[in-house]
Amino acid sequence: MIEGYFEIQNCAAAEIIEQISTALSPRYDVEPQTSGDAVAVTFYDSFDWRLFRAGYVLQKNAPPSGTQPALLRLTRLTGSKASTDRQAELPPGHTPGFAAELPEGPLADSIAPLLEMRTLLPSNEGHGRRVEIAIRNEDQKIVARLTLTQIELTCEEGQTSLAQLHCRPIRGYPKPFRMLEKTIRRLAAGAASDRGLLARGLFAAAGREIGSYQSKLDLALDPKMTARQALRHILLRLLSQMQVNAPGTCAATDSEFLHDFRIAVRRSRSAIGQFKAIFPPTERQHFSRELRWLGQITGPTRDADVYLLAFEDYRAMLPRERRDDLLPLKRFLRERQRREQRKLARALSSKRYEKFVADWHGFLTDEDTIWQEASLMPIRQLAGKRIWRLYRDILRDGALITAASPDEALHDIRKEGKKLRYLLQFFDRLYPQSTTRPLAKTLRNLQNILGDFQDYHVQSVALRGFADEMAEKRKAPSETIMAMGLLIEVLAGLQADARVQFDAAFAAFSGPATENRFRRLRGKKKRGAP
Amino acid sequence: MQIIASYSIKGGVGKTAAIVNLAHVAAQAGARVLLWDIDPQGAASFYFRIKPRVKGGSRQLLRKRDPDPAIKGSDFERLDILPADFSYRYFDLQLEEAGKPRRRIGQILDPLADQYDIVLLDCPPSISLLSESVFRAADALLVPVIPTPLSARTLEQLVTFSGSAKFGKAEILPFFSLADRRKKLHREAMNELPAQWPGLFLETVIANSSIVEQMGIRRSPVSAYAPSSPPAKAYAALLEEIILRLAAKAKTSD
Repeated sequence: MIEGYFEIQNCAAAEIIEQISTALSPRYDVEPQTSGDAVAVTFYDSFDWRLFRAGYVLQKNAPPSGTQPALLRLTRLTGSKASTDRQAELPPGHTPGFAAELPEGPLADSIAPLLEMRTLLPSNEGHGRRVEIAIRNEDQKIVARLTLTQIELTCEEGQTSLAQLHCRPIRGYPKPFRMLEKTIRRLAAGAASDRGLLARGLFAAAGREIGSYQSKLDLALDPKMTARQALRHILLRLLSQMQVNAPGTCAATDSEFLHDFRIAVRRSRSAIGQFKAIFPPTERQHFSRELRWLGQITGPTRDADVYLLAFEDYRAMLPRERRDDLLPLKRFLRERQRREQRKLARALSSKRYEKFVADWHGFLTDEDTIWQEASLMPIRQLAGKRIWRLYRDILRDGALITAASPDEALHDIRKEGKKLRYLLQFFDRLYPQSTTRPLAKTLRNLQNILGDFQDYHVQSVALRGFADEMAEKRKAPSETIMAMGLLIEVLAGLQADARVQFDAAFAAFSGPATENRFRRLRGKKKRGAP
Repeated sequence: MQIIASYSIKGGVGKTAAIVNLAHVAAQAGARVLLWDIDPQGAASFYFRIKPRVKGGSRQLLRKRDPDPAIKGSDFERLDILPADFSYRYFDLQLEEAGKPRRRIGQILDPLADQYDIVLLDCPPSISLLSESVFRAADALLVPVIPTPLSARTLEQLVTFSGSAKFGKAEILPFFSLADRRKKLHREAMNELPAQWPGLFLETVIANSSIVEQMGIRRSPVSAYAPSSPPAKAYAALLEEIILRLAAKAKTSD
């Protein structure tokens, strides 16, 4: 016997209780034990709506007193199986945040892989009433329990109510529980239960568009746009992503705000760099400098974030008995992260940043500034040219790689690959998906290997630096320094593995199928075709 | 898993009231508790509104050594009941049949070690094979004593028996039950008996109280319907004392 969760729409609590009571009599009495305690209902999701995108809604039902535990409930929106819902108790005074801080159990297990490093934020609030109901037998013994929470929601159709039922068996009394569950199932089916209502209602009430933020760009570009129109569109979107993520970055709500902020900066720099010929030179130099500055002031915090996020992986790379030796490194990284975070928050609240945002927005929306002549070219033509050029560069440089090539040669290919990837992301909508999808995939494979290669390298260099610093400042016992040395060796091994994989990935990228697809983007004929 | 049995050679001493209230108090405090109503009269089961019925009876429990299917949830969180059954009146015979009778109660409870922190046993008032098997399994024997000279005699019998090899490891924990300080006889006994067995008696006294008598009408532990009443507080204090005594014992035997 497992607990059951059900939902019934637009049916008053009193009526539901009445119906259950009729169905269970005369064998069992249905007895509400409370007259309906107020509960504050709060819905949670990550900033980029990860739970909702995966088809879940997380809600917290908290009693008003604040001294009793609140209830967390994860509802699956798709599919009718209420048994996939999860529930957990949240101790008083706790607020849902990172997955690791949720009470251990099936609810946390379902959320953790969706949420990853993001934190939960309140997405909407509402109110409801909760009634605890006891099902009693002829001895007045409780043989099953039911919690009924009636929630008031505002959605497009107006005010609506949703009854959430949670029935629990009592050990040794399977029959009344089965009867109760059957009755509720029948009621839920009869009352046109609509689980999507929960989602629509909660988002409409919040005045927020469903899934309003995501880090993926998905730009609606038109092939007929001029280069200037397209670049303005792209850069304005990237600027808005910076602005949207800046408050969370300053507050260090979770590490993804900064990460997305930095990606928007990097994409902007790359866009400007790739289309140098269309911008007015003075402005281009000025804004490039400001964007570079934003990259610099945000870098050290992100680095610390990356090491902290990878910390458990690092521990797992060591033999079990050495893993705890690494803990002083975590403290060291935390301190460093906090220090850098403070500097970063100061920079993002500075006049310089404020001015940059205003000027950059002004420049991008201003119709009067004269851009260079190339800005009038159709974007499709210019984009095709740039993509083709970068592709050829990577082919040329990649072909020169041998076992004896220095690490830097691979790093350079990665940088070119990154630029190419951004271009494919910006201009995705200009081309048929059948062409861009496979290209994005082969490129991603190559980039992942190059990324690993470089990350392991950068990380071992950084760890060596940390070890020196920690030893010098006497922040770690020698066991920690030794464990870090061990870790650096493991990372070097992984870097060597990535290097071995490069040849195969590059071969796939430089093959004829990929080449023909790039030719298509350029508007060129298939190789060998008449 | 700690096993605590309430035991008295004679009936009507507040034995069942004590075990029922201790069970509720312990569960309220966060422990996972099982109460086994091993007395065929089924008074403890009655207080929890549970029918005194176990499928297959004592014979099945002895044979399968799996009490799990017979356990019922009470109306209170973390508190389960293994109900009484009329067949328990033949427990002695069946223990004899099964062989090694003194080990059997412990063997029935063994599989529950992961599920419960405390198991409370409400034993029938007698000296029998069943009670000997309970003594063997229990960590503590809670003995309600009405403060009268007759009670002193029965306690003496038990203390003497506890010295025998058959008795096992259980700590004997007598406490004054149904005490009435208005009675001279009670006051005298409450002075004399602890002096006779120094360090043996628990200090908490459960007074004779009409609130406790209401248990039969309410069919519920005192701490559920009168949580701040003096008896409810007394049972809580009694539990605390029992746990301290058991902890002290565990320390000295280490």
